[in-house]
Formats: sequence, C-alpha cells, structure tokens
Amino acid sequence: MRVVRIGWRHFRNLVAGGVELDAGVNLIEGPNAQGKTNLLEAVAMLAWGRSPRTQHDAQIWTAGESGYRLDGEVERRSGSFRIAVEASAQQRRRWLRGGVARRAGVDPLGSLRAVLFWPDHLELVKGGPAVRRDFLDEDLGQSSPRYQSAVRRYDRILSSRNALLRGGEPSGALLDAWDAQLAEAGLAIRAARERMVAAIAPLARESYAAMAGASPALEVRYVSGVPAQVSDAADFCAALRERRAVDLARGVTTLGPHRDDVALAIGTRDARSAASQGEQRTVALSLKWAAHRWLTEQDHGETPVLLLDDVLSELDEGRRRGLAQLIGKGQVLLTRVPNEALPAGVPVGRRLRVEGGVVEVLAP
Amino acid sequence: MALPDPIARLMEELARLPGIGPKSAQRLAYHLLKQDPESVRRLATAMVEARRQSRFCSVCQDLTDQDPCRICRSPGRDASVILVVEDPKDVQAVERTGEYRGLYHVLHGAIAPMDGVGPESLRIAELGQRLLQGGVKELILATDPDVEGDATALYLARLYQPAGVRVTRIARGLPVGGDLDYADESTLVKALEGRQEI
Ligand SMILES: [Zn+2]
Repeated sequence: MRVVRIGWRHFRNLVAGGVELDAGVNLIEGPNAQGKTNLLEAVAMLAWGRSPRTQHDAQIWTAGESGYRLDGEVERRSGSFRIAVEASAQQRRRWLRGGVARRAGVDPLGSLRAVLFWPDHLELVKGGPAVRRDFLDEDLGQSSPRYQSAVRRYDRILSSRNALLRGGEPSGALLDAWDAQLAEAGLAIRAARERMVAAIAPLARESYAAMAGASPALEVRYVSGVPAQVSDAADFCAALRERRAVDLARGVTTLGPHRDDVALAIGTRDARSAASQGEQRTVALSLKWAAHRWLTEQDHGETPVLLLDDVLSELDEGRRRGLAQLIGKGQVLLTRVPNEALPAGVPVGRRLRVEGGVVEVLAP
Repeated sequence: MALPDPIARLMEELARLPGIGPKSAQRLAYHLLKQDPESVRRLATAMVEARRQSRFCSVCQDLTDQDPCRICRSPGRDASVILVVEDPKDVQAVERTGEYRGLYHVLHGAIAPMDGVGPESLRIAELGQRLLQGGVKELILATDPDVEGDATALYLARLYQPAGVRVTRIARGLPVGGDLDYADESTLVKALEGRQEI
C-alpha cells in the first residue's frame, strides 16, 4: 500500500501545496523546525483520522487561519481511492473517503495503515503502562476495526462507571448494570490483546536478535489488569464486587484492561529499569518493526506506510542494520537533517526538501 | 457591518436548536426572511400550538395532546406487553413498522453518569407503578444499542426480573452505537422478533 500523492492547505507551517511520493523510500531533508515532521504527521492523520501529536485541531491549522485540509490518494492492490481529513472552527475534524465522511480505518480495503517511529517512542520502554497500551491499541489495533470499537466502548463504560463511583452513593443494581457491561467489553479486550501480544512477541524477539546479535533474547509478555482466575463475565463481575468498597473509596475502577501492561525483558532483566539507553532504543525499534511485520501479515501482504522521524541520530551498528532491513519493505517517509548518514544500502526513491514550510522535490 | 437586532435575535434562537450550528442558523434565518409573512406566521403558530397542546401521557409518558394518549386508550392493544424506549421518536419508529400491538413506556433518556443522568432523572418510577398495577407479562427493552442504552436495559432487568415479569432485550440487528429511530423498518421488525431474555 502506498500514498501516491498528498496535498495540504493551511496545515501547520506548510505552504499550501502537494507532492507525489515514491513507492519506496522518500527522504525528507531540511534543517530542524522547518516542517519535515509536519509532512509525516499529515500522512499519519490520513491513516488514523487524528494527529499523533495533539487532540486540538486549532493547534494544527496555520496561525491566522480557521481550518485545514489534507488530501491523499492511496493505492492498494485492490484499487486506489482518495481520502481527506479536514477541520475548522465551525466543523469538527472528519475523515473522508471519496468525499464521504466516515470513521477512519473501519473498512480494511479502503484504509491507509501506517507505523510511526520517532524519538518519543523510547517511552515505549521507559514510560508508564499507558504508552504500551497505546501501542497495542493504535499500532496493532489498526488491523482490527472491531477491536478499536471495543476499546472505544470499554473507555466509555469505564468513564461512566467512574463517574458513578464519584457521584455519591450509587445503588447496587445500578453498579451491577455497569459492571456487567465492563465485564463483557473487558473480556473481549483481554482476549484480543492476549492474541496480539502472543503474535508479535516472536517477531519482536527476531527483530531484536537481528539488531542486538548475541545478547539475551527480548521477551514480550502481556500483563493483564484482570485477575488471572477470571475466566468469564460472572467471574469478572464477582471480582468487581469484591473490589467495590475500594473502588467507591477511591472513585476509580481498580481492575480491568485499563490497567494492562506489556512486560519487556532482555533475558531476565527488566528492560525498563535494567537496560542501557542503547538497548532501550533497540527494544523500541524492535516493537515497531514487529508491528510493521504483523500488520503486513494481517493485511494479506500489504505493507503499512512507515513513517520514520529523526531516527538516524543515535544509531549503533545493529540498529543501523535493522533499520536498513525495515526500510527495504514498502513505502517509507524518512526525515534527515543535513549531513546525517543513511544506513548503507538504503535505496532512495525520492528526495524532498522542506524549508520554511515549502516542500520541493529535489533532483535524484 | 452589524446585523439589525431582530435578525440577529432570530439567528441566535435558531442556533439554540439541536444540530443547528451558527452557519445553519444563518441559512435558516435568511430563508425565513425571504418567505411571505403568512407562511412564516403559519410556522410560528404551528410551533407555539404544538408546544401548548402537548403534554406527557400519564400512563406511558409519551408526548400526547390528550391524556391518556391514543395508544394507551386503544382497546385493540395488548396491555400485557410494554416496550420501553428512550424517546418519543422511538415510539414513532416502532409504530411505523405496524408490527407491534403492545403498549409503550418512554423513559425520556438513558442512564448516563457522565452527564449526571441517573435513574431518578428518568421516568422509571412511573414504569414501576405500571408494573405494580399488575397485568404486565412482558417488558421489552428497546433502549438504544449504545453503552448508555445497554446499561439502562441491564438496570431495568435487575430491577424488574425479581418481580416475575418476563424481561427481554431487542436483538442487536441494530447498528451498534446507532439511534433506534435511524434504523429502517425491516431492521426494527427483525430486532423485535429476535429479542432475548436479558
Ligand atoms: Zn400513553
């Protein structure tokens, strides 16, 4: 799958325009803070219908304007289609395909998939569990609209239940009603996450080994926020009832998949606390690489678009090698500041230069 | 240039309506100003009269111009079955199918803790009264198939099942997360037929 062409209007600092993209590696060059990342963000937004950087659209449109629009032409083996994202002061953000507003990503054959890797993703290893849950929901979850809709449903049930816990003394029957829903949605999410993590764990281990060589293996393990003895909805409700007094006292729900985590270890060492900075970078890249491979499998061999921002600095020999292998598959948008070295053997399809918000195609 | 006061006020009032943003309000206002005064007066009268003559049915809580409403008074309806919905528009949606012969109960919303809507803000006590009066064999829960609608259905089931009433939930042939009244008639008929014990 690939983005054939992308256009933008009043988007960040980019001067209205558009550009055709190569099916392989698109190298985006230019000094820092000139708009390189904005170009990657635009592709991510066409894929997901939302920005990876902010929920506030008013931060996205160009200062002095009151809205923005992105247009993309996407090609899959099954055909090509046009998608767009737009928002304005009057109109909430919407994702369109063929000019019709829809929910992004719901129709597998009419969606763009993307995997984004940028410096923030070191947080995948160092950060709190929420970052790793986002990885499950947003990177892996894009292969399954049903999973994503289950997550949205669960979030709403959870917020409602928490509001109820904080709002005085809810009756037992009322809490029961929300518990039953939380249990049903929660079990569906646990099952899906178990499956996803089991599927990517060997891929991540392989990717890590390819980069880290003889080091102990990377272990990726799902840690559920649902007690292990819970096997059906009745168990789940019983566990919630047991915690009810605690939940009421704290005003939050203290068990469920919103407390899930993904444990990362190198051999027997916890990657979060015991790994070196370099190892942590390699682990983060391994997870993204695994996601890319898994999404490709799920999508019957269609590779998601790979967005790599500012990854060329801090590369050791192993990660350089891994990156070169990852980049060899499908469409890539890769940013680079002047004079940064590319991993050896990376074939550049097109060079773009971004300076002062102006995007131009350079001669190859 | 500032708008003359009466026009600005009209736009302001229109913009208060559900689903009407400032732009639509502007379009509607200019549309009204282009009409002849008589047709605008008819619209205004219809709005005022509809509001003045409608009240809630003391039995089913639906909007009506007479109390009890036509459905509750009709001898041809099966008083042993009550279909519970969120809004008056849902009654209209089910009536359009022509397939349902029982009575209704309109809750006027769903339990929504995030919006501070609890059971006490809905017409649930009135439903309890109807059940206490006896004669009801089945309660069909047809609240919207979203998180709030499902929670409301589960809550009502827990409340009334112990009283020995058969409580069913209409099947999920409905678009999940959708509104009942957006469903087409054949979908609604199927959902009613496929209702399940809750
Ligand atoms: Zn009535």
